Amino acid sequence: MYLEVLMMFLAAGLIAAAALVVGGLLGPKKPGEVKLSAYESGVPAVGSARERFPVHFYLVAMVFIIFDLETAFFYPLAVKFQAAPQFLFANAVIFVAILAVGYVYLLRKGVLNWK
Amino acid sequence: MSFPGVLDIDWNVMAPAVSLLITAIVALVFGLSARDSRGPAAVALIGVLTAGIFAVAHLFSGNESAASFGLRYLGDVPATALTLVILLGTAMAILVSWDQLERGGMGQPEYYPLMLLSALGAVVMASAGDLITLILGLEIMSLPAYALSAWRTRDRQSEEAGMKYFLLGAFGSAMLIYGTALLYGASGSFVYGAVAAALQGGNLTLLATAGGALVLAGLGFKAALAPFHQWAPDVYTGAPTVVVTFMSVVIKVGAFAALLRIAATVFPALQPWLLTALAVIVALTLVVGNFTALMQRGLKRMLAYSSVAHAGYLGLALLAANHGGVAAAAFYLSVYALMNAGAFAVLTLVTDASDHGDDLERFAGLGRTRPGLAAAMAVFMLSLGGIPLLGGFTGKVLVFQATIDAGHVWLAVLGIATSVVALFYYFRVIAYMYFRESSHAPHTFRSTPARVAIAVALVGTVLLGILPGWWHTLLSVGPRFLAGY
Repeated sequence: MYLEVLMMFLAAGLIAAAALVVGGLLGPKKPGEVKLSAYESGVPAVGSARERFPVHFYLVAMVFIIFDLETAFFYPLAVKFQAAPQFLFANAVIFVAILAVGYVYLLRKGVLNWK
Repeated sequence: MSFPGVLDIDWNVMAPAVSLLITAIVALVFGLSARDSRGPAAVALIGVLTAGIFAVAHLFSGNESAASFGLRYLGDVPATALTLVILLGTAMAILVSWDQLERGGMGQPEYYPLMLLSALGAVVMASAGDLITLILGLEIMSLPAYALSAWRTRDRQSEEAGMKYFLLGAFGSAMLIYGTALLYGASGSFVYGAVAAALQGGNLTLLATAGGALVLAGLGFKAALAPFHQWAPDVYTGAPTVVVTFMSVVIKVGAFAALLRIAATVFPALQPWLLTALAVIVALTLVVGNFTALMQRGLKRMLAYSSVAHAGYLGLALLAANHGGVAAAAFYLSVYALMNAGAFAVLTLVTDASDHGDDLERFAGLGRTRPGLAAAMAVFMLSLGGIPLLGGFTGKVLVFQATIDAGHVWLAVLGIATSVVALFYYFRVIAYMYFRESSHAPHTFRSTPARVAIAVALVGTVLLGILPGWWHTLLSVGPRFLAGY
């Protein structure tokens, strides 16, 4: 039953491998300094990509995740709200309360203070 | 559209978990403004005791067929009893951490909330009546535990422990989830009882057996059964001892609670070779755990391998899940929680603030300098080794009895033989404490809350050894799992 899927995987793998092998064997190779440098939207590359980022960004991302989760939860809730209004409303309130604690926690940790 | 049965919430069943959740939130908010970590510790302890009161009230209400969310969250006797064991382990870990966090400079306010959330996850695992609830509980339990094992920031070993635990734990979770998906594919249900009933007919056995094997491997990771135990020694060695006190008890109880339920319901419906595989795993665990523990010098590492060995004894009960093994395992886990947390509690007082210095040498002469501490440690070691009149012995007898009843005589014999091996490394600690003079005076730490924890563990270990009947009777009242039939 799943043989077709397997054959498709095989065919896809073969084509990809063939493209790489043929390209590597037949393609012209004229490397230059410009060609070998990393591509950064056409602008000359500045420094290495392995930079250290302040851990602050990570906490800001956490704030984003908190509000993102809220949206992700509220969409299905809004769609199915009529199924059990009181229960789902109580659910939503508890959920927001827990998220609010997380938000207060991040505020107290000084996430939004940019010195 | 309506939710069939999902909205039925029995708050008596949910009360322990809800108290833990609320306490975790309160402890977090309180911890942000608290001066040191002792205030949040008190909050956490009160919350755990509250949850414990709810669990005891439910256990004695006799309402063992209570369940929430349509048999997805159960309040039967094994679930409630194991919830109590988890709460006991958490309370002991809180008492042990009380002074140690400040001593080791680990008093960040997130410690107790994370610990409570992890305990909450273990409670959910113990109460789970279906595979989805189990996965949720497992993740709630594991994620805080990963963070906690890396709690000693800027310590390479602790960081390594956290990373290792996280990677291998994620691997274990992935296997469990994949196995769950296969079981669902084979049976069309997540609820244990319905899975077993659907598979009884013998259709799609390959898919179901693969799913069962993956579930076994995934939970085996958490429970540290033999081929999946590799993380345990490194994590136990690297993580702060206070965290290990918590992990070695709560995570083990959570994992075995889930395994017991699955072994009692789903496994008998699968291919018989799966049970043979489990028997081989258990035998391997017994041998590897005990013999490797024999070779350790560091006490933390020794106790880590000893906990692997105890996973083996508990694994025997898994094989006898429908022959009194459930009550035996619940009893064993109760004693294990007491004696193991007690041993780690003593260890926190003997080692340095940085958790280093857990070598056996450190225990030399402890019988003279700290007689009380040494006596408590001796009792825990004897109980872990399974000496009569202590809880560990009773637990082992019950487990071996169940194993023989289930027809696995050779495994019971192997268990008894490895118990003898285990005596060597437990006795070595006692020998060091009493019969060896130390070259330098061991400087030990004094902490009243930790002493309370050790006293509780001591009383519990002795009590369950002398008077095991009442607790075992209570556990045997409802040996049948409420599994959603």
